[in-house]
Amino acid sequence: MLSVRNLHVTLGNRQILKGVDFDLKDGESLVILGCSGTGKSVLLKSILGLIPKQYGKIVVDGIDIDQVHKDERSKILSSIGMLFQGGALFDSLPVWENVAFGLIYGRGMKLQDAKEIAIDKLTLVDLDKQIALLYPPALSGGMLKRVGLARALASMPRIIFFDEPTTGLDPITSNIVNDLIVKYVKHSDLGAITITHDLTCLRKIADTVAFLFDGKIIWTGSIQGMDCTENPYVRQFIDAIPIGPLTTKKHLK
Amino acid sequence: MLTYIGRHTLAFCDSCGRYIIFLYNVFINGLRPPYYWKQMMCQLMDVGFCSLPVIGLTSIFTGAVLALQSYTGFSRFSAESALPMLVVLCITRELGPVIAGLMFAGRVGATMAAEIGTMKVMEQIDALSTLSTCCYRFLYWPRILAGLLTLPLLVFICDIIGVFGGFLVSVYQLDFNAVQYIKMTVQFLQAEDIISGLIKAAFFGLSTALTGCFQGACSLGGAAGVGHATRNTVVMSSITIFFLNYLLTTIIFSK
Repeated sequence: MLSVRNLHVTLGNRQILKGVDFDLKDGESLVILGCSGTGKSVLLKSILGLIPKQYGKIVVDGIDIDQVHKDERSKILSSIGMLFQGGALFDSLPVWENVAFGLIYGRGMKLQDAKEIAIDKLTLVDLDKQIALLYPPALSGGMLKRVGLARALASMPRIIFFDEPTTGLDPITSNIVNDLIVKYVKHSDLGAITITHDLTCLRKIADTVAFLFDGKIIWTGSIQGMDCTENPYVRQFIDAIPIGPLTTKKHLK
Repeated sequence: MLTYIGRHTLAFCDSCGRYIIFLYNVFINGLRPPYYWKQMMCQLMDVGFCSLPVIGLTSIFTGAVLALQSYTGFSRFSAESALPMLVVLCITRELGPVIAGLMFAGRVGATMAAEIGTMKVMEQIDALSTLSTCCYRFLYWPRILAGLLTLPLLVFICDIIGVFGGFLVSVYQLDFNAVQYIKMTVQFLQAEDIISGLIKAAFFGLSTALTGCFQGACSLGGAAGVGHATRNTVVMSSITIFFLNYLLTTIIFSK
């Protein structure tokens, strides 16, 4: 479904990704763990072409996106949806238009048809129809995430990226968001990549876990594998130990 | 010292390069369909119609002050009768476009930079791309076209308001004859005076909108980055307006 090989990304003078490799299979939910600043969000954005990569290969459904025309590449990448960390909703548009945005402006769907789909998606993420007419500043953090999820699902993606879906939410709202992700990812053919620090979220939604450190994926496995791994980096992260290989002076610099 | 000069030269070249790439992308993408008419109309309304009160007020006071100041100067050598001619020429050729352009840079350019900059730091521009929408067509092109089209219209209206401001002061404060004043204004005014001002306004509007969009699109690092982009837009647009005013005056009136 999605294959990333030897992905290198540099921002300014700093090399963020130094050769990332992974595969995402149909219907698989991959969770990428890692400390803050290790390039997890950069990884997702570089796959989507939002941040230019230095080199590396990104293959979606067997097609190398660098080998096709720009329009074809946009079409391929439009099959990937994304839930941004802060929701990234457009403040000047009502909620329904935010959800229907990709359908109206990206695919040229009629306003009324798109509105019906948007309201349908809002209902699917357990939001009331009344919310549809509100504007994003009037919504709580949990509602923003759910509207963001509805927007990502509205364009019927085949792969969906979640950038820290539960960050900044209370435990109950986090759980609701996690349940929604499980509902739409684990119970469908949708492939998903989630970035999170939240181990509760990880245990709920992950089929496979990958650990990103120093610009590379240094460990991959299942949740069970993660619990009994001897990898010192992963161990330090999941046991939340302040001193260890992740936080040596060399890497703190 | 050499390091300092080298660093700033490289930064300047980098900015120029990014601006050229931005211009290329704006025009290549903006001219291709789909066209977002709703966005276009919203921008025409916001950039044009909503700027009218502030620019109109500035013009009426500019015209009024110009009449007062000129009257004082002209009265020293008994040339008060030239006042209507001076007011209309100054307003249509220079003060109308420049004052309106500066107000436009402060109101519209700053708004564009702040709005786009906030969208950038809040990942909303990234979100546009993931929703199959080109930010150049959806965000920048309507704003740039609105800047290009509305400032000449605003300047035309402001020319009338500015001249009217001069007329009010001349007639009610300086005891000019109203009919005589209007007659002299119309007699000395030529189409070239108005058109030259409108041409300048089109350039000012275009450069302000481009600067606002570019600075917004380049803003980094949260609220400070957006503030920086907004400040840069106002400063750079204002300087560009003065530079373009000199350049266009030289070209238009050099015949």
